[in-house]
Amino acid sequence: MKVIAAVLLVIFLFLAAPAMGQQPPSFAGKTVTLVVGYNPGGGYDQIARIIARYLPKYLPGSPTVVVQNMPGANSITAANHVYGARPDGLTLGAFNRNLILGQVVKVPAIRFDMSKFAWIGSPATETTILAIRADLPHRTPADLIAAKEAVIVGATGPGASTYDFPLLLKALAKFNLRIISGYPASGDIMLAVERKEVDGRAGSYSSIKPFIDRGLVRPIVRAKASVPAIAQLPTDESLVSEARSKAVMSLRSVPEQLGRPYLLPPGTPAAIVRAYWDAFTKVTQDKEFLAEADKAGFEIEYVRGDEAMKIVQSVLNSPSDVVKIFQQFFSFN
Amino acid sequence: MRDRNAFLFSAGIALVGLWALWQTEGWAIKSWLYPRVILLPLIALAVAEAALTFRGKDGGSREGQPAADIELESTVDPALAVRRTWLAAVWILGLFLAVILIGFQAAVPLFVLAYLRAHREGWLLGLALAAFSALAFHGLFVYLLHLPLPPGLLLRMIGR
Amino acid sequence: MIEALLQALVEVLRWDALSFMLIGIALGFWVGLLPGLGGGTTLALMLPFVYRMEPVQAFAFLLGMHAVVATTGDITSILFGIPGEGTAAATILDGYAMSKKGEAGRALGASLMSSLIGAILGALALLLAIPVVRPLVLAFGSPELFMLAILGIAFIATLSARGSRGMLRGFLAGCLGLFFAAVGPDPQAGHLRYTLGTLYLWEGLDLVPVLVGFFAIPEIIDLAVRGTAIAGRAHVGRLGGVFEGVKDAFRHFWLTIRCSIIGAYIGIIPGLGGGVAQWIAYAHATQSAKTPAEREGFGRGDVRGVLGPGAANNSKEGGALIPTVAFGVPGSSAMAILLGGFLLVGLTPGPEMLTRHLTVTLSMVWTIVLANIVTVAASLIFLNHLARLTAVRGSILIPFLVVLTFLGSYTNNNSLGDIVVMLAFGALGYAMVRFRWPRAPLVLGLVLGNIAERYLWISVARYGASWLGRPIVLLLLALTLGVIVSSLLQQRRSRVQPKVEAAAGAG
Repeated sequence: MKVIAAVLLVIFLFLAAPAMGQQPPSFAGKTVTLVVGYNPGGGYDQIARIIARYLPKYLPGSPTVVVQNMPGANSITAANHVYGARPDGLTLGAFNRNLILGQVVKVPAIRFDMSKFAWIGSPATETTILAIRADLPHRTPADLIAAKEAVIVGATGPGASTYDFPLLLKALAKFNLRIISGYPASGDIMLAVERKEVDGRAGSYSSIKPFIDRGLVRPIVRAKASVPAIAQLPTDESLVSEARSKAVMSLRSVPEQLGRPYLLPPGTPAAIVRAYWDAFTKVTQDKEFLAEADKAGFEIEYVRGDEAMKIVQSVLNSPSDVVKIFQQFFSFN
Repeated sequence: MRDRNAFLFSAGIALVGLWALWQTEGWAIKSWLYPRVILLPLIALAVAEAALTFRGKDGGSREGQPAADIELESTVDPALAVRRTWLAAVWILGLFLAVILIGFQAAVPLFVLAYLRAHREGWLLGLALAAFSALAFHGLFVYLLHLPLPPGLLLRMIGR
Repeated sequence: MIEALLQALVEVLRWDALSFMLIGIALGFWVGLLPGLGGGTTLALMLPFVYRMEPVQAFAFLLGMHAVVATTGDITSILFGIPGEGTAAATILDGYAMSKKGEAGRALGASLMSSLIGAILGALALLLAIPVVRPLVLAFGSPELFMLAILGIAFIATLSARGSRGMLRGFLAGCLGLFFAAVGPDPQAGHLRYTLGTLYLWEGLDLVPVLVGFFAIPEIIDLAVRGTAIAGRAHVGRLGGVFEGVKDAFRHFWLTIRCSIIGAYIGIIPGLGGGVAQWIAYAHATQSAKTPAEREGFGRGDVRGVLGPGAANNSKEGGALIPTVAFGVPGSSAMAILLGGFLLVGLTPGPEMLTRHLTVTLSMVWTIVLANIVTVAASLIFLNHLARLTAVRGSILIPFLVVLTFLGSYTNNNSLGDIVVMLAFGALGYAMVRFRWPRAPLVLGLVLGNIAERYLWISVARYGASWLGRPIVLLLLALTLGVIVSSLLQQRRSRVQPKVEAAAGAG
């Protein structure tokens, strides 16, 4: 019943959109609030603050854009809030990319449906890689599969790419890994790599890159989403043959294509959504913006809302056997 | 039993410990090991403390004195002290209630004004300080920091 | 080295860097004073301004701001009993007690002077560590971190109360703190523990709302009960007071130095977090009491209880820069944001910071020192006016103090849950003071419990049982035993001379 209602709603919105979108919206004199699901300081907050400074230039009417931090429960709190906000284009949210997976594994606290948000899209991707200490002999995935002694990988915990990525490689691609979890943050794992407590770690390419450049670790495998610099690395999916394994790995990595999701409340008029699409398109082509984002280590690549929605739909429609396997590995925390 | 409240406090802590222990039922070892290791001594100590208090041993005036902690006022008449304590608690909870009902922006100056008036400060001082608190609050938390402030239940009910 | 040091000083003293530093200091001054604003958050908010700055300018600005936050955070703790920063809570116990005796000026002077000494020592530690930084930081693996947490927890014995009954209450409070540390996801599997069905507790208890409620609420209630000004009827010491406090820092010079070293060491080790140093330093300060009478003075306005944490929470900043600079691994949440600042101005933290970019690193040393000198000098002018706030009628101050506790906790997660936690711990804190359970062990347990659990699992998973034989682990084990034995001995001494009255107090 709920599904039918949802489908009808989506159809209605699509039909109604052109009618409502006659008048180009203007935000002149208004204040747009960008709700970030984390406290100041992290990546989600940092890129939101950069975007918030460039948005006024490209939104019709040059509104004031303020960033509001609403941390809690890995941004579920903020997403629940934006889901119920007035769909007037004056409230938008930036949340954890894994919320979509949280919905797939049915986290009870989630009171929203990712496919009903009006998606602005994602201005940046995240590339997950596995990197191993450079003084070890292992250079390729084959080396890690054939390794006599288990290679020790440090991780934070379930639900983070530092843990899930090597776990799937171990379980599905038969890498000889031993995962030590419990480190408080990725920096602490890096330090453990440095003092040879662990042999390597997985995580976002941008955070590991300085250590690759310094010669401490070398990248071995990457996930699907990628940047040119490491495009030649083998992907995790290429290392498994079974279709279901591929699907599970793909499911894990899908949110990384939508690395920094930006959403408007459900029911936002199409004209407003379009205004945001245009504004984000222009922001992500702005030279100064690109320079700043590059300095801060973000991989800018705008996936527009309509494109993002297709990805979201495909995730939510994953076959139940894939979801079942996935659930054994993944926990949203 | 010399001090009923002290007994109830330590007994309450012991009960919280028991409840927490009961919660660990069904957890994986990685989750329960730490809480159980902590909770068993916690419960034992709390029961011991409660038992000693029950038998009227409050540790005497010297024994059991915190090595490094403040001491509450003891020169005020005990009855008055109890009344003032409850009153202070009510004021603090009152602000909490006001924040929930009418939101921070209205609750803060109102609280300042009401408190000052209830303690026989003049209207002029009360209004001036209330205005100051409202301004400082708005300037810092609304204008500068853009905190998300809940609008208050009452205000939401009448349609913001 | 000396040449580079001078060159760095010249760079910091250039007008542009210097003016950015002064702006940073002015900001940090207020951020420290206001309980609602944390150093880390403010750093994050200021980050966008450094995009176009030179590295030396950027760090003069960011570090100048960060270096003074801990210094001025103590001021709020001393004057009102509300922790101005999460790292300034330990100063309340004796600092605010001094204010109640009319010695606010002296307490402020002592705290500022010890902060300055601490900051300089922290900067010195940063400087001295440069050649040996790699072995120094790398020596501390997960087993050592676990043992450090245990060593910290052992200080519960020091902070407990007198006699066997006092020990019982101290350990009870400590266990309670360790238990509260279990709230939130467990570090291994991420299973949510004791979240009471709320989203708010998903990430565990936030330290700041806990500390604000735990320490400020009992004091506010007590102030209401007394019905007087904070300083009561005592005459608020005027000019002499502040300089008396400054002199105190030199009277107990070695204590100040020792606590600075403690702070710097804790700062160097990433993973212990900013909240720990002040409490260990406080515990160490109480150990310096020679007689039981002296020991009872702690918590009732012994200036050493101000000097210890004051020195440690400043020296730890210099220490925390070491892993941030040398490895790109932040030693605290504020340092994590500072790390973002490094990348923005085009610097990659790592060994190069100690060779090619040595001047930038050394400019940080100077910034910490200069920022604290400026702050302390500027504060000395204000202090006497500030101290007079303790003579203002309680009925005028109380509403503001209550509002500050609310805002100070709300701004942590921008959630009403912050206020509920603050109130709950306020009630708990009041009950503990009322029934004479010491509060400090609970805080120690809370800040260390998670670290202990986390690194014990990692140590066992990684090394099996062999980690127990590592030399530093054994050394820390010996230190732990030393702490427990020495506090038991202190207890014993107090039983030998039970009749010594505390009437004279501990000056």
